[in-house]
Amino acid sequence: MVVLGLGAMLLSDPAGAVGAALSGAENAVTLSIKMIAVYALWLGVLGVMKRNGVSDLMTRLFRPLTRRLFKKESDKARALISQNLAANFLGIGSAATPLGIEAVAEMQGTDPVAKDGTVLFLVLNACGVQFLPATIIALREQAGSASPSDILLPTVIATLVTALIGVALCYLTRGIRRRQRP
Amino acid sequence: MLPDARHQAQTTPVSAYVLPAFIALNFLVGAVRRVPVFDAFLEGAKGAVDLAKQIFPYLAAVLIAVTLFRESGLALRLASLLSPVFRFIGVPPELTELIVVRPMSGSGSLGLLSEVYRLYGADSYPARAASVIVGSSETVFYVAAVYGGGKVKKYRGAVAIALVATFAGTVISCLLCRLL
Repeated sequence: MVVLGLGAMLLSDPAGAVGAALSGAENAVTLSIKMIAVYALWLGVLGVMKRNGVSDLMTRLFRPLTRRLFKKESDKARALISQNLAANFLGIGSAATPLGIEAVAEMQGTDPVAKDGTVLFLVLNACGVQFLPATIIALREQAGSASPSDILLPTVIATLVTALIGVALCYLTRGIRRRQRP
Repeated sequence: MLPDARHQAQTTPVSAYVLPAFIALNFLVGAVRRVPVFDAFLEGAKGAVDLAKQIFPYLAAVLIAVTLFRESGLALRLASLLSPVFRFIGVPPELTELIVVRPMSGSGSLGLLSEVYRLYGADSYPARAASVIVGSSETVFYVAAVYGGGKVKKYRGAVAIALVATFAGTVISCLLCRLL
């Protein structure tokens, strides 16, 4: 993508190429600094959740799901996955992120090649399993919509279907992945 | 004064209460169960800087690639190339750019979403379809980069699968908006 973008940039606007690349990196800097604040708040709250029993509760709630989808993973990884999914469902994407990173780290160990469980987990998260599109409803409201939340039902259905398709594709492509990596 | 205040209270969506209530409830449960809430918070929060540091290079790489892809006009060209295909499968061609940008940039797609609201009206079919598309999907490349967090070097098709599923979700979103 970088090569493609740079190539096209050299044709259309060579003077702006480095500037565009730098502005991308700058975005990463601002975003990272913002994320420190977000992580500080949510990792703090998660620290409290680990001690007050709420984490365990979420793990238990999602156990039927995670036990089926993530059979091979350790209990610790499954607990983190459950909490990540719970945070996603509640619409707390910012809390889901540190949990997801920890879950991937736990599943991977030192292996740089994504395992089947990691692939499935990344797909679930990249498909977006959030059920409360709060930002979008607020945006629609500001734009003068008569009933800003009428998108809720189709959004929830679309989210579920997307996630299901993602999970199905993970299982269907498993054979191909196995062949790539015996 | 009073009607104004009442109006404000009415327009605060219920969802606005979810996060603060969730945080407050956690502290409360902690306090009731005699957990050292402050220490537990500090213990969690101290990992924040390290986490951001660990993810930064991957985030930078992805955002540089995405910015180049957009600034070079490749994203727009891809969008105009795809637009007849989209029309054929029932996706409003007005939304092509949004659909192309969605997996790359969260703020970018929210910007384009507002643009759709402004151009076609917030209750029009393209606006509703766009809302559902953005609401039911994620910034695929960002999630992959951040969650991989330096541990994952080979994704073994995870990104491709997520993109395919997201696109299928896009088509279904448009269908749902026509039906519901």
